[in-house]
Amino acid sequence: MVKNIVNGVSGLIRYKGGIAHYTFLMHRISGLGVLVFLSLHILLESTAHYAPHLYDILNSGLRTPVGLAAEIIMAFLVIFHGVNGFRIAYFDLFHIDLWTPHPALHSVRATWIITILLWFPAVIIMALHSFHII
Amino acid sequence: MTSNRRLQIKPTLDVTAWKYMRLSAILLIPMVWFHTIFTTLIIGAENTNLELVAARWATIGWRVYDILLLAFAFSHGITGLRQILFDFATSTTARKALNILLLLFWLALSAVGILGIIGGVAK
Ligand code: HEM
Repeated sequence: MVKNIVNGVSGLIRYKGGIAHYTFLMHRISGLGVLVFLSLHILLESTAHYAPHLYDILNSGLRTPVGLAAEIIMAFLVIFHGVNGFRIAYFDLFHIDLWTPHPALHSVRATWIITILLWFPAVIIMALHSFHII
Repeated sequence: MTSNRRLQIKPTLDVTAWKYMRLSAILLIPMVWFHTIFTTLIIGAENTNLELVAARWATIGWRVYDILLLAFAFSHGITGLRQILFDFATSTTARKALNILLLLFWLALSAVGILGIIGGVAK
């Protein structure tokens, strides 16, 4: 088991699969990141029922520079995971023929471009909220 | 060229999990994105407070939406975590143990969240 983990993780890092490989790794990392966030998010939001006096106190942690940074990183992870996840699900379910080297690589590049294009405006809007401009 | 070949695959738990990941993925894009755009871009963390949660949960539709979102997103995440762990834990014993642990974690946190939404904001 420990050997599996060491081999597995070092293989994931050393394998030279280029952008497609980094995209696979990023899908895992973003999936795990979002799952950790969601677990904490469920606990925090449910204080509205279990301990309402704590809700606003705990939530004020988001209104700090660290909170804003966390929000910006989470936005990237959710957008990337969603765009790339859609690509995977769409190809697997409806267009298995697109899993050939050329269109697959093309779609990987498109995934990163779409992610960045959606992320920028989100960052700007979150920053505007944070500085009370909107 | 790829030709069209159809294989009959025995629907084991892993096959079902594979399909569930993709079907829930298609559903999660509109659900997760609507939720995040509404809460972080339209309302914003600065304006989020208990009063607003209470106002939203006063409408039954919002509660149903939040419960469905929690159910789909969390089960997708747990199934994904299972896939990652199974890449490293290859023995039958380890996999059985992980299945049980993941099931317990999934049920416990789902119950906390869903019962919290059903209970609503305590007065
Ligand atoms: C925005 C909508 C989402 C889409 C379109 C999506 C799509 C996908 C797809 C297609 C996979 C690959 C499944 C496979 O390889 O069998 C996947 C894996 C995963 N997803 Fe999501 N997902 C979304 C949201 C989420 C959320 C909210 C979470 C966390 C709670 C999450 C956590 C994971 C994890 C942990 C994996 C496993 C990664 C791996 O096996 O390498 N996803 N997702």
